[in-house]
Amino acid sequence: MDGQSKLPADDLLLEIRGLKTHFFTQDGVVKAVDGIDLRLKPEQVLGLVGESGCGKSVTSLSIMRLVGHPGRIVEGEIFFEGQDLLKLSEAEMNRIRGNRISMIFQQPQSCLNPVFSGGRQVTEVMDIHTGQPHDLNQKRTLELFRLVGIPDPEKKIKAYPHEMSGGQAQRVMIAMALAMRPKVLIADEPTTALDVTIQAQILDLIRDMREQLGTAVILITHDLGVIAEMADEVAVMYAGQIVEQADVETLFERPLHPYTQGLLGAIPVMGRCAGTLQVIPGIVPDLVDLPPGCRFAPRCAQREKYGLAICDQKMPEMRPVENGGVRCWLYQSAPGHQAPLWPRRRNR
Amino acid sequence: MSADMAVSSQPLIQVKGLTKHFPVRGSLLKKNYVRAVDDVSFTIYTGETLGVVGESGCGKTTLGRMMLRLIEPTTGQVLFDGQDVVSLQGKALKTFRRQMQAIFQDPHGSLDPRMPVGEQVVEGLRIHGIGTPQERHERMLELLRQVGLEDYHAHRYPHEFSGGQLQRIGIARALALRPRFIMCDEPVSALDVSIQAQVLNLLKELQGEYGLTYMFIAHNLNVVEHVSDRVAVMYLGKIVELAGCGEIYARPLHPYTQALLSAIPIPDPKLRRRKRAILTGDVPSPINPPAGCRFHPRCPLAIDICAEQEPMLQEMSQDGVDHLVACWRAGESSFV
Repeated sequence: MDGQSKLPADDLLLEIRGLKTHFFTQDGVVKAVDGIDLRLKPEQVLGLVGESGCGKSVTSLSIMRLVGHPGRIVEGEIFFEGQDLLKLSEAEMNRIRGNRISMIFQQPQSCLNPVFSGGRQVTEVMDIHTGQPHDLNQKRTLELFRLVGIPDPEKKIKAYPHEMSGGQAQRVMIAMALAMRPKVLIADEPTTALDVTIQAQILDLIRDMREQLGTAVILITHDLGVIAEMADEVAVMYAGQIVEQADVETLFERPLHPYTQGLLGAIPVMGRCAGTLQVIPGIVPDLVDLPPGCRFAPRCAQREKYGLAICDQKMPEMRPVENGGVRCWLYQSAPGHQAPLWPRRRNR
Repeated sequence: MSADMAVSSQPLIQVKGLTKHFPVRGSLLKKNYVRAVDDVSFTIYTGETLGVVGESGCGKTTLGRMMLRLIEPTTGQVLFDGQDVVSLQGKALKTFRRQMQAIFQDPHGSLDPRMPVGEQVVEGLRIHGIGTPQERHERMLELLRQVGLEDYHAHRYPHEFSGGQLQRIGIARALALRPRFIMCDEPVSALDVSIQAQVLNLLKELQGEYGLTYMFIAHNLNVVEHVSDRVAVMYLGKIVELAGCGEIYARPLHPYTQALLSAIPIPDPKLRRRKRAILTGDVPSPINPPAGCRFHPRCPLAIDICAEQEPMLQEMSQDGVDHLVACWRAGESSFV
């Protein structure tokens, strides 16, 4: 009965608590995801942003329970529609994957099976999850192809992945993901492999689909531009942890964490022709051998500016602030450490 | 990129009618060609950075490689300092190659995994027989320091480095022969944002120091705009617009450029509801590109002539700012 008190609030669709996914390799334990908390509301677009190796993809694979050897979810809970996904049997999980939660990936062409037509692969999803007759599902596939804007759908339904462009293949993936009207769509770098004009088409499509079908989206990307266009809520990841979380306006207007500030300063913005870009010095830490304190400390310019000693020694907590939270010693005190800055005030 | 240093009006490279057609399987009687680059002409001035931007398959990489004679052009001329590069052979070609170097997209793929990086940096010097081994060693250390690496890195192998560091090694290697021109082919697109900024700043510093001329090829308009003095926009093997970087951003005349600019996600959530022009459809195949203007099947402004006759690059300058555009309806209206 202790589960009762832990059930997520009613307005949450998906809640991740203290998720840790580690990879047990020959070189040591890679802490790819190391204690993250996330909450997704219905119809919300939650952006997960960070650089390569920060654990954003492993987070999404953990939600789907698709982490393969040598990786393992070592701790945490993932509540979806009142049940902990991590406690389900494989058969129960199969009924959720592709049905209640589905996923699209970065390389659409390599995620489709090359020996079956796109249409058949979309129909298969419905054959598995619905009891409906095959020809009814085929009709629905045609509708889906039309819905996701594939030109000439009657013909394209028979096309094989190699006969499609990258943009078309991603549309087929989206049709497949949305076939069962899932509650949650996880989009892992859905436009990174696509050209910018095609990227704009696909982002528009994801936005439309959310409005029409009411699907909540977890959007994983390294591109802050895409986040600004799409997300309602944003979590910034660094070295396996969430370092800052806020609604999208707040994050871009008043970023608190030095890493978020650095990321925003490092992107070239159109119309500001010349000038030197702000740089985050150094590289991301080795996930096997992490620094004991704040993981960003070795690269942090603010730490030097304020002469903070604690950053190297102790990990800061995720501290709630107005419209979000931040994990940084600049905004929290500890014995022997006085926070040098006030965060955004939390008034609600 | 070179706001702090003078860009001379001295042309370093003149490209004239450069064309590359790759043969592909066709029918028995008719051979098909991929028209990767089709009759492209432009000039790069000493000390400037010319950005070349376009989507995959537009021919930007083929163009860069032809200019370095890494692939042979089908027709056309590349004049480097007045000398025709395309007709060079043997020894003359080898000597010439010192002046032009390249930095590539995939830093892992462009380095030899079995050779210590230090040796790779100065391999060019060895091939061209420049300096004694001792001098080459000193030059190697100097180059590594210049790109922000340490002496002990010289003995390591590529797999021991991160992507950003490998790209720095690639840059050191390109600098070794003291070239005058460097073709940067998507040098930062494989890198993370924070590392990308480091490499862009490094390229800029080096340009100021050595008076280098760059051609900067990329698909990311933000990056191109940030580093370039002038920008050429390519579509299906053709340059459709060429102008100063501020100019092309403020006054894009070709509908494709307008669409490209408006498709870029802007890192500011307040601009999310802005009016945007989103192109429909995909880029057509370069094997049988559309007749007339190659952009016309996707162009919202297309009229009858666009399907019939190909527009030439023509001067559309305003207030003395250079601006070339190939469009029948350039300047008439904008669809954004």
